[in-house]
Amino acid sequence: MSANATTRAEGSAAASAVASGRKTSFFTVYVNDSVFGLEVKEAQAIFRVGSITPIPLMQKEVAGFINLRGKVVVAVSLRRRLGAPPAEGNGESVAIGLEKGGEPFALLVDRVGDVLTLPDSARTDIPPHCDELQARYTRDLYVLESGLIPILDVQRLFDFS
Amino acid sequence: MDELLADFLSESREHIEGIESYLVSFEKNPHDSDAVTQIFRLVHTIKGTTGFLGLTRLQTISHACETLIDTLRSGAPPTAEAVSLLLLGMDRIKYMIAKVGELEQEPEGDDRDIIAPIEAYLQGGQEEPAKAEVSEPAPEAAARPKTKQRPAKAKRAKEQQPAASEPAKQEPSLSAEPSEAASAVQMAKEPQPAQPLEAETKGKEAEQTAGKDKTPDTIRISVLAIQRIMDLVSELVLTRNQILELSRQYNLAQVKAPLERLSTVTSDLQDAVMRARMQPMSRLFASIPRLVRELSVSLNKKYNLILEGADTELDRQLIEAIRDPLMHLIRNCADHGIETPEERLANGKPEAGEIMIAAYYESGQVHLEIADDGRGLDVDRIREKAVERGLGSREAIARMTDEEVYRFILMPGFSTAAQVTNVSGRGVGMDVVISSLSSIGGTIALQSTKGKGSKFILQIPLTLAIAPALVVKAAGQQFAIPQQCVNEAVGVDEESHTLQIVENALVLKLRDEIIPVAELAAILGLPAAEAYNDKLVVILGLRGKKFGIVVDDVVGIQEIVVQPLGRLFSGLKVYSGNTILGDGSVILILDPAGLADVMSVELASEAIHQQSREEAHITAMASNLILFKAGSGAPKVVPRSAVLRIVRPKASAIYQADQLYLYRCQDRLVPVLPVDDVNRDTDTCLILIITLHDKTFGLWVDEVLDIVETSGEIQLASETPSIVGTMDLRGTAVEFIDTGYYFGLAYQASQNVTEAPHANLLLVGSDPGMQDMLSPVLTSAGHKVTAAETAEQANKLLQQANFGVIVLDAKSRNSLDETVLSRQPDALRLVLSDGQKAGREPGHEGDVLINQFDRRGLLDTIAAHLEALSARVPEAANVNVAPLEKDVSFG
Repeated sequence: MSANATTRAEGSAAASAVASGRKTSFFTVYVNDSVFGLEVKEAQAIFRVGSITPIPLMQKEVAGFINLRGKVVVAVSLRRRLGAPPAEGNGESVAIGLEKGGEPFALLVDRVGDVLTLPDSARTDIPPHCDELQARYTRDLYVLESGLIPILDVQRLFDFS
Repeated sequence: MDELLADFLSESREHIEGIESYLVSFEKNPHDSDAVTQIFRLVHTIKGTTGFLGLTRLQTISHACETLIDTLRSGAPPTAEAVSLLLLGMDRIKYMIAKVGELEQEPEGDDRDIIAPIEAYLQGGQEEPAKAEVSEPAPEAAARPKTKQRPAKAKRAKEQQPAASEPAKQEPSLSAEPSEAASAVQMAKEPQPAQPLEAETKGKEAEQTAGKDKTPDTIRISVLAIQRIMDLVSELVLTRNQILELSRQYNLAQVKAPLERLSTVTSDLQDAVMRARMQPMSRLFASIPRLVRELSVSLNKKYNLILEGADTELDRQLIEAIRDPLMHLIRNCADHGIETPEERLANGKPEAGEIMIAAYYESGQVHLEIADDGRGLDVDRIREKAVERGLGSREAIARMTDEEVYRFILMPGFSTAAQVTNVSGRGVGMDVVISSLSSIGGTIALQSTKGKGSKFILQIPLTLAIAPALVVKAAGQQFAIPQQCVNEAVGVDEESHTLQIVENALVLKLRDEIIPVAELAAILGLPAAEAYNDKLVVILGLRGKKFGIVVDDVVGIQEIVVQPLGRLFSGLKVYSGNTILGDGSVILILDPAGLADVMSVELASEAIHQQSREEAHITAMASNLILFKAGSGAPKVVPRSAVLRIVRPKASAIYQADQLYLYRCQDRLVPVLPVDDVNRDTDTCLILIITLHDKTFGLWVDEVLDIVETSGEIQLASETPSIVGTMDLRGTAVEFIDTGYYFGLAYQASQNVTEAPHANLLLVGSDPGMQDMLSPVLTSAGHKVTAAETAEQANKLLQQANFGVIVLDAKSRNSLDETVLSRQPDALRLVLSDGQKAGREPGHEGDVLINQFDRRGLLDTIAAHLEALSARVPEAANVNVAPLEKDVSFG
């Protein structure tokens, strides 16, 4: 799924960049009934989560370790990062492989939706009155016809210092 | 960086390491033609490559060094001067290579200072080669032909030299070097059209002679590439296991044989990759001869160095990790172990002391011995020093075995050296040796005989990467414990192996030993079980200390591939890494040293003995607050540092007198104060023994719930005098007990603070929470509070006005201007500590450390100071009264 999505997104991004202004492609990710954007070029893999090994004593935002094809990856829960209640049922079953400072991470989300290719003209800054947690982990907003879509700040999501 | 340059740099570093050990062995045995050849070869390679890369400075120095070696090679005696000149030259080359690594080009400068003495030396001894060649007899027939042949060739080549063009002069020995056929050299030759064809053929011929050369065929692989292969192998193992499981499920007989083959091949592959990471110990040994040589010069002693087992292989990472400990131990041997030559002769020993370093395999580990034939350890002296240092009573230390006593020298700051030299003796280092060893799972043992010498034995695991581990289960989760630290696992039962709570610490009675234990689940903050029956205790041994962790189950022993945790987890000291198990699940690896630390098992100190065991401070989790229940109200907390210990005496041990309860504790009566409406109708009572202002009293509580680490803030403004305030602890409101209040009740000495003299007080602290918390307390006690947020502000305020009392946090303390402070010698400086650190930090002279949560103690200390001051005023004003002697810290 990820491979297809990536090709499609890149193809359209290239095409539209020629047509008018710059455009950027985003995955839509869903968590706790909210939707966020995640830049396609930041995601290295999207995979279904098998078992997660919790890490006692670690901050609760760190869900645990995942075995991603023979590599141990730290999984961070987007839900818990945003202060949302713990997932039920099929929640947090998808992970997106990302990287910060050369270290691999996985971001746990409920599901990944379509790819949106949005023109730079639709971008705005985060308004100051935004929810504090949400504002901390998003870098900007894009205005869509159907509403606003906040874009996740990967660097901050994996910053635990 | 240019790839060629990078290759050159890493190769050269290795070459230089090799040269040093050869030089020293060459100096000892000048007839070691093998050493000369090796040295020549290595320097020549460096010269050739630097010429090719256009590093002219390096080229000229290595050329000078090479010419010097060439004379030695042709038989000139290897004088000490020649060796020293060469070592200097090598140092310069090393320095230059390091610089080139940084700058990617050569630094500016001149090397005449190195080259001129070499040239001068060479001019002095120019005639010698030829002479030596002729006159020298051939005592070593086997080695002779080789060496003879080469100078002969060199001569022939030299004869041709004048015919060659001018640039060829730079490399007169190029064609003369028979064993060198490196491509770089060949390429360097190219721009010389005058190069006679004969030289080419000679090169080939030489290559054949060098066929015996023991340099194995190697290629360079980055460690990352090996790591990647390792990861892939692990994945392969995993897949194999899955297929095995499937074939078992479906009973596929046909695939059984190929599967078994796959199985063996996979294991072999894993083994082969592991081996690829191994490197011979010689890498480490190479730098030892030079170290010993330098020590010999600086300490004026003579040594005989013996190195054994240089081909013992060890994981590359481990070799680097034991480098420093090894060097330290050698320095120690050379300095303290071996006597001066005069002493040795007087004791009937040979003049030169023997230092033997041997590496060998034993029971799946590498042992590294560092032995000397020196004076050995003086047990009596160590005993004396241990008593002096207060590490135990004289009797206790006298009872210890020699082995136990030797362990003292491994403690930080312990040195019996009468004299501190610049090599060692400051008592710094042995503990560093221990910590770097234990970080790689190694151990150290020590043997010694007075007058005969001593021997350190380091035990090092073969590799960090793969290790057997015990997989245990706690609170439903699996964890791995490195097998080498596991002594045994015992089941808990009612008779022989019983778990008991002694002074609130869980202990296991195992045979005749009392071993501190803790529940793994509790350490990890996981839900703990109610009963300990049918649980298992895994007994861990670390640095001679035993402690246990209670687990639900032992799953088995597995070979695990340890992967260190990332930086993200550096704060979690209980884990050392993670690994992927055969079934693909990820498992955390526990770090025994980290566990011991959390359990406050004192590893370094051996001083706890019979007597101190009774008096032992509570062995519990290091933390800030003790959470307990007393009566029906909210749970309460008291700073952990204020509690001396927790006792559970029988109710009959408590007497009631007047309004007070008294507890008889070792011939002393300690006042005990019931906290709230604590249940007093029990057989035993639980008492927290508190020390405050040098006095002891007890708090009678129902139950100690937990020991918690928290940085939560206290909400002040409490109506109840017995508590400082409330704080939020994991979502529950708890009451913060005011120990000062109970102190007042116990000793009827509660001072009415409002009547005490008032102070002009300066409150310094960048943390607004601290300001908010203390400012109202101090103001309500009648003091005039001036607040400063930064040390600069405080410095300014101190210059403007006089303050009787300065209250400040530890961070601001260091930034205060000492000269400004010294102008206010009467000011009481109260430094707030966060409880845990109280009493540990040395602090500044005259400072009073106080726990920042101890509101009452703070006020009382201020009051006491003001009283002392007012009492002093009528006396001579210029008499300098010593600062408050007692640190009011409760740690």
